[in-house]
Amino acid sequence: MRILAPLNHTAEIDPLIEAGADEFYAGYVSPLWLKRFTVLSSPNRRAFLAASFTDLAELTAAATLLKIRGKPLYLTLNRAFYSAAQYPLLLDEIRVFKELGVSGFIVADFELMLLIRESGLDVSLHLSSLAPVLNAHTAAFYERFGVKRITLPRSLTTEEINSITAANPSLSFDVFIGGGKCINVEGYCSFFHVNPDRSWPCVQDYAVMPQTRSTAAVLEAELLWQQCPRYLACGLCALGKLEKARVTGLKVVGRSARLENKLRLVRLVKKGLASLESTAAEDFCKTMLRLYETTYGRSCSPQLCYYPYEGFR
Amino acid sequence: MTEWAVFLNNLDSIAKLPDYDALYFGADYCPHLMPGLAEIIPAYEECQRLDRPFTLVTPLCFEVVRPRFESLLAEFVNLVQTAEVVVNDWGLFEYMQGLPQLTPVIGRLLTRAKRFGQALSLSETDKSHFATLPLAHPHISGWLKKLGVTRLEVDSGEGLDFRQIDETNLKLSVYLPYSVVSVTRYCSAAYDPECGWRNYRDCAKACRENVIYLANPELTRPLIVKGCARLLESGPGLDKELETNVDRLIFWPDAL
Repeated sequence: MRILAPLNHTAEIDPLIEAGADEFYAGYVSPLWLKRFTVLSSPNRRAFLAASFTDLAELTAAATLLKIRGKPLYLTLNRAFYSAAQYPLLLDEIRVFKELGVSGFIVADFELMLLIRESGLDVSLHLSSLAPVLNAHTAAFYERFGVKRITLPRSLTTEEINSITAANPSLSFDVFIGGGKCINVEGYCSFFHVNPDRSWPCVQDYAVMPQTRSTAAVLEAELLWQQCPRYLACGLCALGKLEKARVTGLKVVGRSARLENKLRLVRLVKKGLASLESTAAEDFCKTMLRLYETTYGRSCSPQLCYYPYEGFR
Repeated sequence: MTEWAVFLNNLDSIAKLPDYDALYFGADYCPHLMPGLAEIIPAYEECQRLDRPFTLVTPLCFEVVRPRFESLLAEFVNLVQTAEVVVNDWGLFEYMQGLPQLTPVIGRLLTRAKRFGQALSLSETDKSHFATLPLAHPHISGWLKKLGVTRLEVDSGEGLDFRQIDETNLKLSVYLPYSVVSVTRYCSAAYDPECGWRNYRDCAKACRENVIYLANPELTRPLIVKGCARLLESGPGLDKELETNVDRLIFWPDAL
């Protein structure tokens, strides 16, 4: 399994490769895009500029360095939808990115996929988790649009992942392995991610107003999300099952995170993969929980675990 | 003439409802709330008796429940021969391509329009962008039409330019009075402090008895937490748009 790391500065490339990153993904918002549209309708899901490259010269430098290092770069164009006026610019920019040597595009919108295919652009399409593949038929549905690789949403169990990959042998699959855990099924959420301190509506502090029939347990469950440091989420204990499920990419979340956080997470996943080789299957989960505690100085929890249905304890 | 449908997932309340033109029966945001055939068939028969159209609503579909929903659709089509089915999952849509007796409607969770619960200051450019009715571009709606789709559905439609439906051969429905803003699999009503969530296969449906409101200065209205959905009450000012561009309104009386 390969580690797919987030990137938003060229200077991050070599340290992340040294830490264990095998592939990279990044966003780009061009000056022309910002002139004609806004960052709120950015070409990728992040509606703030810190998560994306904004200078074509720097993106070119990053793509060039990654080519030299032999590491693929994928570009996120994963808006759930675009307005009609945005498609011509998107297609123009995809042609430019292809010339730069970008290895593929992470997409979520049907029309963009159809337009890419019909315009004869020979580019590799990866499906974003913002086009949620919750079952085997949905993977087959998107393959019809030319998708070759799919990022599965965070809300699946390893058993479901195994069933989806087994039913779709011609596709390859990525899963999220660490970093921001989204409470919501990504493609079924319509919140904007715009808060300047990057606290999204799914985890902000709320005044909880119970209705008369509400129970204490429901309130407690809601409050746990509000207190959850979701950037410490992790799915390491499932690595063995993910490998058996033919998952090929382990996606680290956090394009706009600080480099030290990205490095910590990539190193953690790398150690997890190394342990997979050296640890007996029955001890693996316990080993990963210890590794997690050593790395973050805290225990895992159902809110932080990517696979809580399977008993994180 | 605008048609009024009511959207229910059990028959308990149907007798108490005021007059309605059509029945929507099923669930959209939670697979566990989907009624079984034993409930669907009496609902269908009630519509037959009253000579009212019946539409089956299907939810998003995790792999673990996919076989159950496939069986349900296959058995349903054997019993009813033809029917309209709202899909909220592209996998079930794909499966339904093998059941041409069923007419697919693209449900409100798949059309992916933005719901405006956050207190944002939108520029005119942003307003224009988010007025986009996704899937209604002539290019994509033509493709949907070829696959048998006749109708798109949206939540309240706040901020949307409904006139875009005129550029397609599709019809448009709007749900009232609540929008589904987000869906989680980590349902607060199914949370167990000892072991997290164990409800991915089956669920006790405690959400039916538990609704809470979340308030925050960044929101224009409180978020309503109902099981695995976060809902918003629809905003004002839709009347004129609804009258002129929408041919079906779907009232959701037991949302909360």
